[in-house]
Amino acid sequence: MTQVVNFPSTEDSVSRTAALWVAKMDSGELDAEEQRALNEWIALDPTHKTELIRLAKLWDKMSDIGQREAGRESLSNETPIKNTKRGRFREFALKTAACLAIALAIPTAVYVQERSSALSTNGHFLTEVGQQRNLELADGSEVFLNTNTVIDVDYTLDRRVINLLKGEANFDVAPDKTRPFVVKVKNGDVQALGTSFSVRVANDQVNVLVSHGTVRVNASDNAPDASSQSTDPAIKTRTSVVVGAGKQVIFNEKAVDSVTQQDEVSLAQKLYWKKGFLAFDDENLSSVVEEVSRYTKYNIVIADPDIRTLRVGGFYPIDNLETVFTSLEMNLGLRVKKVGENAYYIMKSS
Amino acid sequence: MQDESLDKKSIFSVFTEYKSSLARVVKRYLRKESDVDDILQEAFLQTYAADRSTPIQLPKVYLFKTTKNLAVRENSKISTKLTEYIEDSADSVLISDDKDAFELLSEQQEQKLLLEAIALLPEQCQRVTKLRLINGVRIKDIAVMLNISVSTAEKHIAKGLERCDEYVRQALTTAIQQQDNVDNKQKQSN
Repeated sequence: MTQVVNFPSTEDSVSRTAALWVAKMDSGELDAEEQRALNEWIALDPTHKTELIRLAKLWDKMSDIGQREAGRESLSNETPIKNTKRGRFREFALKTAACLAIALAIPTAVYVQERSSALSTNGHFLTEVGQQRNLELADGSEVFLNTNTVIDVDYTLDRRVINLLKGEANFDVAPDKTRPFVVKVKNGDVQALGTSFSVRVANDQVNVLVSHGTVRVNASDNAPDASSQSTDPAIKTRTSVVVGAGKQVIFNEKAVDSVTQQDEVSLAQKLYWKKGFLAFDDENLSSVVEEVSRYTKYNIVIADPDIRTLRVGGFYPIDNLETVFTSLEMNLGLRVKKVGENAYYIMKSS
Repeated sequence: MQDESLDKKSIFSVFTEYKSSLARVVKRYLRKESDVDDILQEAFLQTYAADRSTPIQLPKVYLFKTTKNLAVRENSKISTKLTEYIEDSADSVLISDDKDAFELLSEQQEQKLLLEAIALLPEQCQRVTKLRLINGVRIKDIAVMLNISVSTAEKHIAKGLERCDEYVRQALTTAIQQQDNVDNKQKQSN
């Protein structure tokens, strides 16, 4: 805790050391020993104290300005009206916009109490295996994180950027023409021109599913944004496509692999996870197991190769995947055996 | 409720009416007494400005809340903490109002300058600084969010502060030189 004391006290590092003390004080209360160290450092040279005070004041000033900035953002970005009373006054507020401009000229606090700002939901968000989570971001956009997912929200004043580092997420984008909404994934990105889409990254592939509106998919950041017309059969050579609702785009690190049209049923089925369910419609047991495995830390093994292609259907709650096993046993006559702490084996019953 | 229109009429009248109880609030929260008036004035100005942007339903409540927040905030100021930590704080340095560089600037100018300075910080340092200053996230929480140690986060903050300081001083030196040039030209032309 007290390394700060050990910084060399040469001319150059006086302000660095002072800045470190300021940071330390901003981080929390100093304990007795740290206070003593601080006073020792101050006693070494009169410039230490001056520098410390100067930087402390600067930091306070920067805090003020930061808060004002946060307040200004929350004013200019008109958060959704929370109650009708605010609505009633909205017209009045507009009329007084001119007055506000004058009030701004008095450069006093136009920041309001709420700390909420356009950037207030920046940061890392994650879900554990089997967990799902809905986030509402500062601009009103909603992100639904599926199992085992990590995103990094990085909003700025002119862009809304989300890095999908792992897993799967669905994005319901609040319209804001001035600030594009971009999901960065692998080498590429998905830019919302409209409203709702989900992105899943697995192995080297990224799978984008558009449920409403339009998105632009760039497989690679580096490639020039040459062509962007949708549903062209020659799509395989493309690095960028613009697609509408019902389309599924799969891309890898270099180019767009495929663009397919999904009918309503399959689209809904692919997005059932948002409702907390897994839905299978006559799929291979092996792909069902693969999908189920995303939601559990258990290792699920198909012990008999010849049952891999058994067809499985059904509708299972994500928070109770044992029902999958029950269903396999009841409907397909298979046997599911727990092996050790962490594995389930699926095998023929006899 | 019947006096809603009365309340609307003047934040100032509410402020005057409750000024002494507001002062008690400040004294209760503030560890040093010197700044009571400053805080009351700031609370009034903030409430007033907020009321102009969106009319405040309950000016009295708002005033008290603002006052309390400002007092709490005053305590969290590093320069306030510093007075407590420095043993011989009786001597003049802290009390003296030595002019810091910003005195030469308007509030908008200084804000612009500092935002510029922050924008020039290296990526991670900038991220930490913004989270702290603009989003008001505590340093310990930033460390958790970014998966770095608290001491690394503190170092980013220190570096950010130092760089911003350099940037502002540089900009001010330039500005003063330009001003001098203008002055000299005027002298010459006279």
